[in-house]
Amino acid sequence: MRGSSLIVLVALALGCGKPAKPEPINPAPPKAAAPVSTPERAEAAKALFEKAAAEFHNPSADATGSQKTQLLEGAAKRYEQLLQDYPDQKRWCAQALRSLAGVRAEQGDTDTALKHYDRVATDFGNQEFEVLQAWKAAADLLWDAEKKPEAKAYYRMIVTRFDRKEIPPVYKIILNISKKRAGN
Amino acid sequence: MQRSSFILVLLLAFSAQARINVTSLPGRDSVQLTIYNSVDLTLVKETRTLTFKKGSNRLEFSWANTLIDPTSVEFRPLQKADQIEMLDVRFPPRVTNTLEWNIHSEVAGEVEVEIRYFTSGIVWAADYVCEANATENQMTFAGNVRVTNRSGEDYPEAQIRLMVGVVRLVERIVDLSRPSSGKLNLSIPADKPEEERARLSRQKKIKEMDGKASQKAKTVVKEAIGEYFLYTVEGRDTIANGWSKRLPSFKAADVPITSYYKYEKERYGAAVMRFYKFKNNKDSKLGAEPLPDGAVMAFRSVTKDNLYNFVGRTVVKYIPIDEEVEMQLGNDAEVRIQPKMMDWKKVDIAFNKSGNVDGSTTKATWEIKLQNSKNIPVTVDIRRNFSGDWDVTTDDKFEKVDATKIKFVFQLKPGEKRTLKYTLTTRTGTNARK
Repeated sequence: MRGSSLIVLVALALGCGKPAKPEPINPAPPKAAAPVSTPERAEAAKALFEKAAAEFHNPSADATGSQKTQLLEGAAKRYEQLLQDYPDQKRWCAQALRSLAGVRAEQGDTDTALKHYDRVATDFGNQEFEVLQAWKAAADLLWDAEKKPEAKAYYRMIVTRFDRKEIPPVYKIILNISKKRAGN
Repeated sequence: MQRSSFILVLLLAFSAQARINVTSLPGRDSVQLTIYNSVDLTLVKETRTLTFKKGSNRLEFSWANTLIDPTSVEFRPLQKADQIEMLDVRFPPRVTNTLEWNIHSEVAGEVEVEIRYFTSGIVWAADYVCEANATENQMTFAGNVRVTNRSGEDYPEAQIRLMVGVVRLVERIVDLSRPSSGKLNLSIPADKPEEERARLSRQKKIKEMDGKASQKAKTVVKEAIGEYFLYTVEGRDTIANGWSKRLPSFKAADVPITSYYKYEKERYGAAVMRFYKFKNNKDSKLGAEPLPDGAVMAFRSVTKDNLYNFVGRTVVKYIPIDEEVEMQLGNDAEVRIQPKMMDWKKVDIAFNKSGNVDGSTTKATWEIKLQNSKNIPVTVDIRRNFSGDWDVTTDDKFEKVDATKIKFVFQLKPGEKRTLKYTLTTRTGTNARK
């Protein structure tokens, strides 16, 4: 029995005998098409960001205890949702990522906060003010935690990228303090 | 748009948990808006009296839900400037879209400070009301400005200044080169370096211009700043977010005007167009400043107790000082002009050697009936357009406007009817003399 089965299998494999019914090819799951940026999507991303900030993140600053924990987690959840659902909305994603880093910093998770701050520059390098805010927040977080060498690295990055002739007033102040702290 | 959460709070202690000790500041002492329509930018300058403690002080500024350009925010003490120093700007992780100034003060007590920034979303538009007298030779001319605030921020009791003129910069070429050369949204700094440069240049130029402008308050200040003109609206007004407000700008009585009617088939069709003409100069009780683009509503007094009839509406372009303005106010059925060709003949036909026509002359006789059904005298300007080699014979006076146009000007008494006649001779081919 076993031998005949083998023969049949070999014959089939060699293409002998009745041609086998073609096996339906299981198509690979279609890749989700990258969402196209539209004004409606920009509005939706903006609304989601503003909801996260106004209803969760900002009120958490004045809350305490479990209420503060819940509000911070609520903000984080919405920022993550924005990053997942609206990858085409770079401006809002950059703001959401920086704000998510802020939430993690507030929760005491400095490592995750720093990772998110770093990602603002790597993923949204064109969003210049967001990059500046992220690096400055990261630098200050480390400086306040007495991690001066690590903080200096961020201050140096600020100096390298933003020390140019024409910069806005807010950049100038940050540049000055960054130069001082980076030891330039 | 959601109401702004623009807040300014002084943190009494220099620590990450200092929010517990937050003290709300008193409202703005004053706020001044200088609106640059041409680039959708408004320079906001506000003063507040802050109570500093000696040592470190933290000041929080939020631009959430507004169109404030956060990179443009500046703080400067108006008193004791040598004893107050800005040390740092931080972005506190506990809140979004907020910056925190760390200010060192050598003094304790109240200090008046200025906070300055740019916002977009505030625009203004001029409009005018013309009230002509019954004989249409004088008018009262009033200008207004409507300020619309969609910036996300309320500006109570604001002094409003309007800049007339276009902020021209070399960098604007960048805007023009983009497929959509619309206004920049300055709520978030631009993505591209060239946009960033253009944005900074605009803001720099505006600050320079602002420095040249006088700081007089509660007076109507209209002054030239280079190629621009600054209007300061009298008094102070609250410009709430989501609202627009119409503010009076000027009013001049007894402004001389010329009322006249134009007929030109090629431009206005069969209608007779009514115009009011005036000059923006001192002799006309105007001329103190150029007049910005705006809509005009014109009325005419029809009774002794100043009951007005609507005459028409139009839009005027920017009117420099000493410039004459012609306002086209629509057609008026009470003044009729009807041309009719009464005769047409071809004469002097020329033939070539082969017997073919190679030249001719036509003579057309026209009658134009004019009728003024109004109870006031009117001036009518009738224009006729011709082509080729032409000449006109008539008993009436006319003026040659250019190579293809003539005009007749008549004064018609109230109720007057008259007929204008002319003969147009047109030569073609070998008959043409030019």
